[in-house]
Amino acid sequence: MKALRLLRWSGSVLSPRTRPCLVHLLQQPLSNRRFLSAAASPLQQAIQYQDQEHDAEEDLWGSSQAHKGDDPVIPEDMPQSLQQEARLRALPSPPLSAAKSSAKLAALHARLSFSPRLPIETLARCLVDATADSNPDFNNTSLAILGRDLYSFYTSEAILCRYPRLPTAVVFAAMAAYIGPKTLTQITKEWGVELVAEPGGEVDPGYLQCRREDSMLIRKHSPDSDTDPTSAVEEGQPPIAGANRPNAEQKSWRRGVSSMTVYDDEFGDLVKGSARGGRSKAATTTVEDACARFVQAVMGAVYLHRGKNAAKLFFKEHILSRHLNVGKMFEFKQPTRDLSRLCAREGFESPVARILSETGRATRHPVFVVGVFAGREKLGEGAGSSLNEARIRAAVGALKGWYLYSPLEVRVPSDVEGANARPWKPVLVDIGEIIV
Amino acid sequence: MDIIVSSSTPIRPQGALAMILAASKRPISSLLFLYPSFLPAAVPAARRHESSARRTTKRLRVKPDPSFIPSTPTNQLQDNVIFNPPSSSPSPYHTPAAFLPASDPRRSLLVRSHEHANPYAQPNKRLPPPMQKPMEKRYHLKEDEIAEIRRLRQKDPDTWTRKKLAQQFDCSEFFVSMICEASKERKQQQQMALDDIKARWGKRRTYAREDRQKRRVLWQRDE
Repeated sequence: MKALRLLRWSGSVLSPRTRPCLVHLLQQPLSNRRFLSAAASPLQQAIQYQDQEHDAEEDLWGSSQAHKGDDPVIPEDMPQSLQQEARLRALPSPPLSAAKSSAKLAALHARLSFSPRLPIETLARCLVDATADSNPDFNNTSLAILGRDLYSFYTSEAILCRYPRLPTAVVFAAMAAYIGPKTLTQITKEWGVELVAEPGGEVDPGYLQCRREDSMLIRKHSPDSDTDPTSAVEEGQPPIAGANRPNAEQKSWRRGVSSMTVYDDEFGDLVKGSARGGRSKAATTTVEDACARFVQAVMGAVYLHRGKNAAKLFFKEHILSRHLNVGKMFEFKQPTRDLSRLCAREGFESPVARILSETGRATRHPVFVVGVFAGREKLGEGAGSSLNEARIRAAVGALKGWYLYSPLEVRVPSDVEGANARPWKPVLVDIGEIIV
Repeated sequence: MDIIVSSSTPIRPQGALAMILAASKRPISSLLFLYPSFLPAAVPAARRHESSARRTTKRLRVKPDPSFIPSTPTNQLQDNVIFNPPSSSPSPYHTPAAFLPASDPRRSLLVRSHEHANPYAQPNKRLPPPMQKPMEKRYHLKEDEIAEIRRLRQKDPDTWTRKKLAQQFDCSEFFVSMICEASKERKQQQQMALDDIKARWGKRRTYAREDRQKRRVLWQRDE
């Protein structure tokens, strides 16, 4: 596998962006312009600037209509400072020029020990949610999509190579525990990022800019501000849960675990969206979703600016370093039955529960230690205050021993990328969990 | 003929004192004033059975566990690894040797150190007693007998309950439930009867049954 060099086209991904309502600001010198591209060549930049001015005149952006409509009417006789203030207030999110002077943003950049090659303006863009600024050139949506895919790729390969026999339901739970919205919200808090009360151009760019569901203020800048904010999808279609599924309209149909790996997202949850497959454009968001998109966008930014190795390191330091006890995620309905099915499948003798030791059988608090044996081989051991409890615990222990097998040396496929990597040795692929 | 009197045999007081002691139920110490002057020296309470040194020091000198003593002689002692883990429930992350895939190097390592990992693997070692008598599967029921069980249960579920069918056909109740199912009405009827019984339970019994269910869930999660 060869690593892709992204430097050439990351410039077009992170093109310099302008707002149509601020065309007059574009007349300022080039150094004051708000652009992000750290990788584009000067020639490319020049071409893009021409394009962008062209775009600004022709008004090609989808969301720019609303911005045009919101173009602030600033009286000429206003003092210069007030004019500046009014212009800032007209913006849906803080301008990128503010990123350089924000202490909060600089602190966050330093706290995450990012290299100076990851510009602070990108970090500022990661903090702008789509609900604050619907313009895709200024919010973090594109970075979040990239980051989300990277997270789920790295996490799933880490889980599957470490525990190749895990049942699918436990894999989904472990995925959610590593990169689910709840964890990412926790990470946002640990990074010391706070949320704005209400987004706007005058706010410090070090805050996470999003519009929450409990927000009482009326939206000023969103293109669909005149519509009801609860109607999440354009053209009045109700959002359909499980848009990827072939029979999404069948509410009562059973969702099998193996179908979740095909149709649903990385956590086994239904993919919400419109019937046409596009993601809905919501007016407000929950704190969890906004925080998740922010952490995902940071990953995307690290990948684009610093490359694959830095992204993997970032993932290891911030996600994989979190302790997750996978052994605690199991719940067996009928462990003894499952174990005897497993022994039959794998060709062991059928399991027998044997009393290893006991104390106080006739007392109020007896303790029994029971082991499950297949022939002479002890598979599991459990202690309990009744023989039945000890037997069930022993069976659960044996099943966990099977499912939690982990190879001695854990390598993941993405380790093999690069010039001087050792060749890939195939990992154990299990035949699957026990089906009764 | 020699008579050996063991030291534990009580010494019988003689004469008048014996009469006093026999008549009185009070402890001897309260009657000391009756003793002649030579007697207190012979009171059994003053006897020493064991020296204090043995009790206080020698008993506390516990021999170390054999696993703590190096197997090599002391004069050619080298670096040793002492492996003597405390007794605790095994971790689920320690895969038993039988569950390791054939390619895993731990498999051969575990077999070599099997005395500790699984002491029952040696053929001369006796296995611990089974919790219940292991059931032998007999497969003795034929097609027509199974059809008969189904027919009986369908025809008269009140008479031919699971238990009765199991006794009649010499199989387990579980097998009966595997091959046939009670009708819907019968199930509903049984459920209503059960609900009726449950409705008569008091608070204590209801809570106790609920707690029992919750404890069972904890077993299944191994918490």
